[in-house]
Amino acid sequence: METGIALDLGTSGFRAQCLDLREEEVVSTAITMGHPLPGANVMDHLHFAIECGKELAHHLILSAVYKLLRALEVDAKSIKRMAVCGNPIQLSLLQNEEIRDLAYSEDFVKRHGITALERDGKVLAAEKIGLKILNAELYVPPAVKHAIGADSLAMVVKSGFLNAKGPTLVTDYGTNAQMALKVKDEIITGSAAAGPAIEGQQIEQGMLAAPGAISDLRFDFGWRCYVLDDEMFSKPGDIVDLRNGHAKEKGLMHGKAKGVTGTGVVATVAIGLLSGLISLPRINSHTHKLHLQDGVTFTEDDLKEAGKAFGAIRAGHLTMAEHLGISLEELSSMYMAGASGTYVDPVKAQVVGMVPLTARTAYQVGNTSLALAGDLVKDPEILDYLQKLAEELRPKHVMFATSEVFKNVYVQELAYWNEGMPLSKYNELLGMLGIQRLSVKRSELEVKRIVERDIPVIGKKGLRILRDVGTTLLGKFDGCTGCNICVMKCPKRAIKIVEAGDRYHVTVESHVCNGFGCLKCVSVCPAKVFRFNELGIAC
Amino acid sequence: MTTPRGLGIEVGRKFAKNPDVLISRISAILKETKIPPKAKVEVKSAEEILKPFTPQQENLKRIFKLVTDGDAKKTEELVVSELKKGTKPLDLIEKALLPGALAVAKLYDAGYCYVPEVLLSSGAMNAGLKHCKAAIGETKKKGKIVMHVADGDIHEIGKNIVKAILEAKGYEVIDLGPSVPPDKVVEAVKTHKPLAVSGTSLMTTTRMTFPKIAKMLADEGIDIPFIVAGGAVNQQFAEQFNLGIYAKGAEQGEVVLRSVTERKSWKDIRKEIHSSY
Repeated sequence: METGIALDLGTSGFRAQCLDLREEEVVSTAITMGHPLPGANVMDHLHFAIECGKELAHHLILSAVYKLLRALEVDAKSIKRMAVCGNPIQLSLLQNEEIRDLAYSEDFVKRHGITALERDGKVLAAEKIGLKILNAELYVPPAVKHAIGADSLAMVVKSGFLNAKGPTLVTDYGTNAQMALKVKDEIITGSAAAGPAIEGQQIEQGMLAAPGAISDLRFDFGWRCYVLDDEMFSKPGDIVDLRNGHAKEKGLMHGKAKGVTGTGVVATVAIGLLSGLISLPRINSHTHKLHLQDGVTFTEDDLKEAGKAFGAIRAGHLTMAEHLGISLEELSSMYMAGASGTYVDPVKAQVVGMVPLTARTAYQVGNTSLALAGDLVKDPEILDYLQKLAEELRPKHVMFATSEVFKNVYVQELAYWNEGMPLSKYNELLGMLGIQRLSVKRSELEVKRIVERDIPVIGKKGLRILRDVGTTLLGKFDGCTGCNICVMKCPKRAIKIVEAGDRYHVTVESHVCNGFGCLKCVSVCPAKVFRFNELGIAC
Repeated sequence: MTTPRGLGIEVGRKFAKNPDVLISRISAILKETKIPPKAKVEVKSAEEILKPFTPQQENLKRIFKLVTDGDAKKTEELVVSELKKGTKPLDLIEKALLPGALAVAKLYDAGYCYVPEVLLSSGAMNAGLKHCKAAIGETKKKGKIVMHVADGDIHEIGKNIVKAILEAKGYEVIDLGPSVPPDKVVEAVKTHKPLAVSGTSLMTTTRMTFPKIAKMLADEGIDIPFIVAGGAVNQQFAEQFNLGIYAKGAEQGEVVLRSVTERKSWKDIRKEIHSSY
């Protein structure tokens, strides 16, 4: 049997599928719990690669891919083709390419003589990037520009966005929220630095989607928490009194909640706003927190962080609408992509502004990156089509950070979320700046779930979940006294001290470590010898 | 601009759990200062706040109102026409433009307006100021601060908000803009001799420029506070290099500038601000 491998390299983890090339169907699926690189979001991964070396990052990613291939139970000799999809940072790290042009502004890149890559679509021997699989070709789809990479292209192509009638919006909710707006034949793309709050980070008890994450809150004569189980299904938890955490009724997932994920943050804020428990920027409970189950809380600081993310997305939508000269009220459909897009409740997303208030239909389309990789494996010819599409979209990309419209709208968003500025004043100020006003009436949203879970077909061999996707990193720091303070203070318990003769070595589990988003180990070391960038592979 | 914003909630919040504490504290203060128990707390209305800043002359009053309304275009038009009529630029600055922004800053502090309105007023003030450039040097400013966004980073919104607030409060901001190489920051500090210098970073990859700047400043014998702000930095990060002080917003920026005029060292200022978090 000739097989093909579809690979999706995402921020929260990798997903792979083995396809039978003749029958053109999925045989097995494997997903990782977490990302092999230290860090909590894609910027952390980028930072790690820059500080610790992209060769090390490349090695960690390849190890993870090998582990996935083993989990797929596929015979390496049978693999004829591989296709990969993901954001530009992940894809460039996989190919051990330049990544610094993604970390800094254009002028910095020029000044430091860094060659910015075009990131066009390509075919290459898998061996070339270090994958010692015999006779397999690797297909890499093109990126559009900056943060609009192959994953955004997948979002545009696989969601149904391209064929939809009427003004259509698609958004892939993530740390870098990518979005595209289509009006008749014109498509514009943009990406907003929404920030880690969307994935659940920068939130005190936030976490990436993983077992134990509170992912939703639903009304059941009270507010019931929904928690992800070991198979990543959202299962009912306790009905809680949000003002104090008192469990009114225990659910299936009682005792299992460890934190709240991005979609859970959306649910919490939406319910807070609807119930009056949140009067921006305040939470109206005695403790000024919202209490979910099992002691998981949501603070006013968390609300501020979440607001910055929601505001960036709404500002992005408004900016694109302004650029194409339409009012958001003319929008008919909204496509929601990405893992967050699949699991979030579109109605609650609408309450917090992640879906325009006037949208009429919301389509939840699942993991479009993996779907596109699968298509490429089955029909490599579509690479040309993707390249043409990318080239068409390139000139029509809006860099929000430098757009005057975005900046003006975002300042209003900050005031709305952080200062409690009312929407009426928000609109008055937008009017003064010559920008369209936001509708204040929320329309009835029709939700169409295209997929039941973000990977709809997992194949007859089923789904494997890989938990230990990382590699053990080793640090040999002169002056280390083995005091174990870094071990104790590490919030993820990723560090161990190992005796090596008369010296001490440090090991760090790469997929557990929060990397440059944390660096507690560096700051708490009493001898000041913990040099994170000197970590290497444990042989 | 007369929407009140959360007056009183701050006090209520602190003592909500322990009203007895509040009562005993107030009694203690009353005993100390001998204020009669029926003393009222004065809350000024927006009009009352605006009054002392409002100029008497009709033409200056009109410009003042345009600044407080945040209308940059009309402010500029009126300033240009006044200059043509022979009105002294110094009068325009000191009686209309500056007071307009200062008044809005006071309204913001009192909760009567929001950050976007401060930005608009500051924009209107600057639109008028640029035609009075000749006279600017003569005006008294509270002090200077050099602000920039980290080398390689282009996110300016946060810096621009703080800049508008500090300008509205009477400070002079030398804005170096986005993505500034470290040597240009040090050069600007040497040229302008500000009370403090600030750097904003939203991407963690770009924040490593700040320790570099701190070292370069130290090498030149400069020991003014180096305020770092933005989503990519925090208290922990700021404490890793000399001169570093982490600011959550404009409020901390103000405290730093005031403290420097009071001759406090960066070390003491850092201690004060970091312990307040």
